[in-house]
Amino acid sequence: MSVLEKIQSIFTKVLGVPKSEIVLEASRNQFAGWDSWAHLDLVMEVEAEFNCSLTMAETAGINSVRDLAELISRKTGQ
Amino acid sequence: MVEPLLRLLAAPCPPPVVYARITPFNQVRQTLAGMAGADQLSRAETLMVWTTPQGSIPAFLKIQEFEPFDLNEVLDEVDQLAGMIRRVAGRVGTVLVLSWATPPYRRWVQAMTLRHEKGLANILMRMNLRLAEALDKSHNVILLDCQYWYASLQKPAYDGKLQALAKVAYSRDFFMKAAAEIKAVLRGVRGEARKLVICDLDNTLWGGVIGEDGSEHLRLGGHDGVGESHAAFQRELRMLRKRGVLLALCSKNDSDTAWEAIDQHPEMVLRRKDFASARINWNDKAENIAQIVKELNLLPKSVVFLDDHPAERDRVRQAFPDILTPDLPVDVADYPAFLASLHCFETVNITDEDMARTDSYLNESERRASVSASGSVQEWLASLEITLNVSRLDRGNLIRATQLLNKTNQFNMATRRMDQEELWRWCSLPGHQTWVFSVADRLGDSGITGLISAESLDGQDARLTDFLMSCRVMGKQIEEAMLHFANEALAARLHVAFRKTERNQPFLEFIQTKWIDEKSGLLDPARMFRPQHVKIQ
Repeated sequence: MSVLEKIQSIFTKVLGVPKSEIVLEASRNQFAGWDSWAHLDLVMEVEAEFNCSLTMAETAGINSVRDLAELISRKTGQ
Repeated sequence: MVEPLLRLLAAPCPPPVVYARITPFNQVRQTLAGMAGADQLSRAETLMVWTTPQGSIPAFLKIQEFEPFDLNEVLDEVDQLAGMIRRVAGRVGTVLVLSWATPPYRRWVQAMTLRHEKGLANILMRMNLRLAEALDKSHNVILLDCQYWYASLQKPAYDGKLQALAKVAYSRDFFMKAAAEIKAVLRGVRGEARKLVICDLDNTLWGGVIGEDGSEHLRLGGHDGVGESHAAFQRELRMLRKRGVLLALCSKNDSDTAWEAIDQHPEMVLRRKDFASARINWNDKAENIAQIVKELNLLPKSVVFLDDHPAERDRVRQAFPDILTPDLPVDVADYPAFLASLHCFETVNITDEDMARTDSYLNESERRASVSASGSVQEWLASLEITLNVSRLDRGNLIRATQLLNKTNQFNMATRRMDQEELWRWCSLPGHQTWVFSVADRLGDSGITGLISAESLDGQDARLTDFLMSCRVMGKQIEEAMLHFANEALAARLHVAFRKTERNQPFLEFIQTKWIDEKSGLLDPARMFRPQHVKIQ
């Protein structure tokens, strides 16, 4: 599975939205369920899935699916 | 803040699915006080009180921060909180209270922390003991060991980023641990613990294959890591047996060879008497397991099957999806700790009855063996030539039926007590009917020893209102025949109105094998049958 595919299944699990809506362009304010608790859930699940740790600044800087995907790619070299 | 726990509790695996709501941050006392008065709890099954020592016991904060404190003040605050929990406990099914621990990342002065009545760890222990004492009389309050959660996690329990961003003092891994522990305890509360472990022998209870290696070459105990691990695994199983979980054997082996090793091998921990049932033969394991489960009168969902052989596990999983058939650890060194990791033997109490359970099964089977003298129980039952005679309640049998209704305790579904006229009036109402049963066999006639009454409900449904049988005829599957008869006669979807009493456990154990779930009381027609040895007329 690619980074995006893994992220898609995490979003589906946490936010309960279909995979088709989780595109790179999608930003935080497009998802009603992406509140601050969901944000932490997403970060925790991503850290577990990719076996990496995001800093507080990185966590706060994620505002779209693309932000997250690029961050993960950069951190894990995937 | 424990919000991340909600999603994990609501996840379907492991069961049960728990839908939880979190009360406002840092308002435990206010919330508990409010709950004791309001009826907002009425729909909640379980209340969990998850507090930190520094958050719920203000005096504790002083200790943590090296300020002067008064131990009595600390303990008084513990008593206050316990009192609030006790008041709320009466309004909810179960209260889970998380004991107090300081997180491992918080290192107090280690040389002082256990000092009598001065150190942080010392006082924390006192607080937990006081809490346990104060809650001891509240039978629906369960104190959970937070210290154990931290210790058994073996991964970071804290994530500074979560604390900084959201005041969450625990890591994702810790929440996963918490959710798993909470769910395990809730399964225990709901009586969903597994009751029987069926074990393979070769490379499961001992190392090696007895049919090939011979008893003297089995790896069991001794100065051998593999042998030690198998012996330790057996000790874990024996501990389960001692607290009321039944053990059984299912192994493809020559029966005599295997029993000889079980009886004679010097390093065997489990012996013949530890097993409530056994099938050591070359038959299909699923077939054998079906027999064991039936013999012990359990349901597949109460069973765990342990076998090192993937193909056997696959077969059993396919035949019995409800039986828990876990993969065994790759390394036999991990066998001993493995049982506890299954989280499926939770209980809220261990009774004397639990501790003697295997013995009682053995007594029962010995008794039957002596009665039958030769051949199986089924053969013995068949030899009795049992006839179940059914008649409707009438003026002629009313007196005896009323006696039976009022005297029967153990095998009695509803324990309805009525005098003759009340019973007569009840069964004369439209849609109501009552049958009485007598049992005869080649040795004699027991007279009227059973009664079933029923009422028709709307449409396709009927409800059994009374279902009772004298203990004199128990153990011959008469109850199966009675239920089968009622099912045929009513030709409806059958429900039962079960009412638990202190003494009708035997009935419960029977009907549990019949109903689809307790709540609806709807019986599964596929589980009703006429035993072949009982003739109905």
